[in-house]
Amino acid sequence: MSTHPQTTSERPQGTLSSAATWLARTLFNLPSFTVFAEPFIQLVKPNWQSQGYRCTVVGNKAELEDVFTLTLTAPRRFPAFLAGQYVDISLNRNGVRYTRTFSISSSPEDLAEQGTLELTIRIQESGALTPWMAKALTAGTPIHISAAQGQFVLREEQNPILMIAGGSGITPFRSMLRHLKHQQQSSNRSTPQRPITLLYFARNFLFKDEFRALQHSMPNLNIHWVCTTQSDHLNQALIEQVCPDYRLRQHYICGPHSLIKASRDVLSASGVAPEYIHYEYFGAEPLSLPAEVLAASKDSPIVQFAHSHQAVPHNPAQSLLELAEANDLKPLHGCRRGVCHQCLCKKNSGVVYNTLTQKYSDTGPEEIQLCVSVPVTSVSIDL
Amino acid sequence: MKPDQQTLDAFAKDLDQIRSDALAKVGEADANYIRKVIRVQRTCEIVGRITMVLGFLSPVWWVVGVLSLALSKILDNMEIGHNVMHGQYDWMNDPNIQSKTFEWDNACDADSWRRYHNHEHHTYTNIIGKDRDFGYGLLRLSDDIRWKPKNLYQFFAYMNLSLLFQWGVAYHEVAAERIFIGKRKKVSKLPISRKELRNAFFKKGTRQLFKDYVFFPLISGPMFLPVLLGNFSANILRNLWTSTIIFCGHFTENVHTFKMSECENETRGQWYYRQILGSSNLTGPRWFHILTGHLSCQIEHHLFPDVPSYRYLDVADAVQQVCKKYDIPYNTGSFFKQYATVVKRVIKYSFPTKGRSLTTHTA
Repeated sequence: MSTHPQTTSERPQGTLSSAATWLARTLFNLPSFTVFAEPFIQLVKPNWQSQGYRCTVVGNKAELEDVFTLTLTAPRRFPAFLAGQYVDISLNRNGVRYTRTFSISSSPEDLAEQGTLELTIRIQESGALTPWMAKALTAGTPIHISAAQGQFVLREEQNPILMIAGGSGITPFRSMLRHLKHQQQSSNRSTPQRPITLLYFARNFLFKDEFRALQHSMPNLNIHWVCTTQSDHLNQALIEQVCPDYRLRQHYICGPHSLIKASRDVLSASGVAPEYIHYEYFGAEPLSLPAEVLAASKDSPIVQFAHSHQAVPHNPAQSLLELAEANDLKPLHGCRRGVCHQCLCKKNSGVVYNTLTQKYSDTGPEEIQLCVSVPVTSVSIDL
Repeated sequence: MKPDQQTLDAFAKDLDQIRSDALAKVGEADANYIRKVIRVQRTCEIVGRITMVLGFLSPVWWVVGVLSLALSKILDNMEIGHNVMHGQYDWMNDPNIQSKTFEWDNACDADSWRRYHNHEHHTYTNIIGKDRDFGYGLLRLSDDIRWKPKNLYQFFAYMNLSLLFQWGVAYHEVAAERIFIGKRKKVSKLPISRKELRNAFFKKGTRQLFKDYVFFPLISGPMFLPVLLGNFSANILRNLWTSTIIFCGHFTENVHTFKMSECENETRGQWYYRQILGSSNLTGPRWFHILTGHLSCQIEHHLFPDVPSYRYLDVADAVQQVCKKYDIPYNTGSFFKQYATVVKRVIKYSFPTKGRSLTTHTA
């Protein structure tokens, strides 16, 4: 659920396909002929979607009590991805299409060799979807995914690497490590390999055996396991201890907001340039907000207006529409009472409460009515 | 007589309960239903356009083609387009069944429709001067509107409006903004420029004319003229049907009108009350309700515009009972009975009212 600028490159349309688009629009008022066919195809292939790539679940394996790995077969036209990227998956449940974002935990080589992708997913206890997914997505279930996206990928430079992972934030690193191992195996053995250090914070560790085996086959890989139930969280002394030359490395961080913020703060305080710090987060961007904004927000949710790059604390007396207007945004609106649906706006992430239907929203992306919605958690709005 | 505030508050609470009960049931069945209607509509369109060309074998094919295409257009406009654009199926989170992006087989640009219909008509229902759907600026359907000599011919104006209904719908916002004729207001509340409104009007209208009167006739080769006439007939049939159903929803004999002053700062109960007095229902078999896009449940549609239409028939019984409980009139009847009162109303207000008072109907 990163809001990094997306890397999916829209393929330039050929004359033929733009003619088809024009024709579908002119004759049927639809974006494409595939959309015209969609409800018919759904008769044969339930939940078929014209957008994205249709995969099939071939494996659903419990990793830990609350983490499972899905193995999917991807269609041939699924575009190649870079280790560290994520996909949006969309699922239909009780007539509703839900979208969720997960990092790919397998490597690009796994896809090339076996045609499969792995997604390692943490079950959110009160989530609408993940507890159900763990049970319902058995072998043979079709599932739609987007092309891989995201900027959290290994940089070209051959500097040594420090990876900092927290909890299920380990998933993109598994993809990267599998990829690096493959690269090392296929490269000339005599060339010295750059040092890689992984600092892994978790209560229960994922991929334990696999990582130990990796350490054996990759002498340049150093893994430090920090069990968060026993020892301290991240601080400068710890980094100094496990990785004394960290100032010279490329840094990759993925995990909870608190870990990203702490790592970023320690690294920049030690003079690491921002272009050497790469991080991936889930949900709204972990902002280091100005002190006065934080003070004003107390504990109220932060509303991010993604397009205008603003983040403001929510005022409980205001709807999202009023809050946007108070911040000089001018969203399209009509009746201001939830009747006309003019003010529909995309919510990228977070939970909102609809005061008219008295319902809580899903956490994923969906259209919401700004005039009758108030934020429950911090939210990101496409304004 | 208008019920007191206490009654209306209790009334609103009961209606809110009906609404949340209905919404709690919404799910897979509703999603399957709307997808099924979309399949039927698209099948009708393809069958219609093909069989019309087979008219050279026998005119029966041509007639079947026209009826099938008309059915497609009616389903697209009424049960699919109108309801989807109200956001009734937005909860599905399906990008192709989404109020914000849906476009229909109608000369009216969907963005324009979403602006004036969902907002103006559904918020200010039957408020004279605010809801331009009340008479469309063409017809005098209440004493609140001053009689003019042109009203003497309004039955013919009504017939023309019915025949050309989709163009009336397309022209609605353009007329309100005086894009082509009339004196414009200094400030426009339009979220787009007047130029953009004009361009959208022409763009959508041209696209509809092009497909029905240029593209499909041309690819039919020697059947050019029969196909052109067939498409024209299908459009006319759809226009007559939609216009007639919509007139039955708001212009039957006992439908009330309101003044803006009555509706300022109204509570939810007062708003519900106005929606009920301003709308009328039609009874009939299931297929009839589907063809009206469930506007046969105009009352329920106005109370709960974003509850999926698939639920209106169930909800209607409960609403009728609640109205009975609070002694609030619930206007329903068979199509012919209701339509007869529409015709009567159009004719009645063609003439100046004797001893006309300036008050509205008791509301």
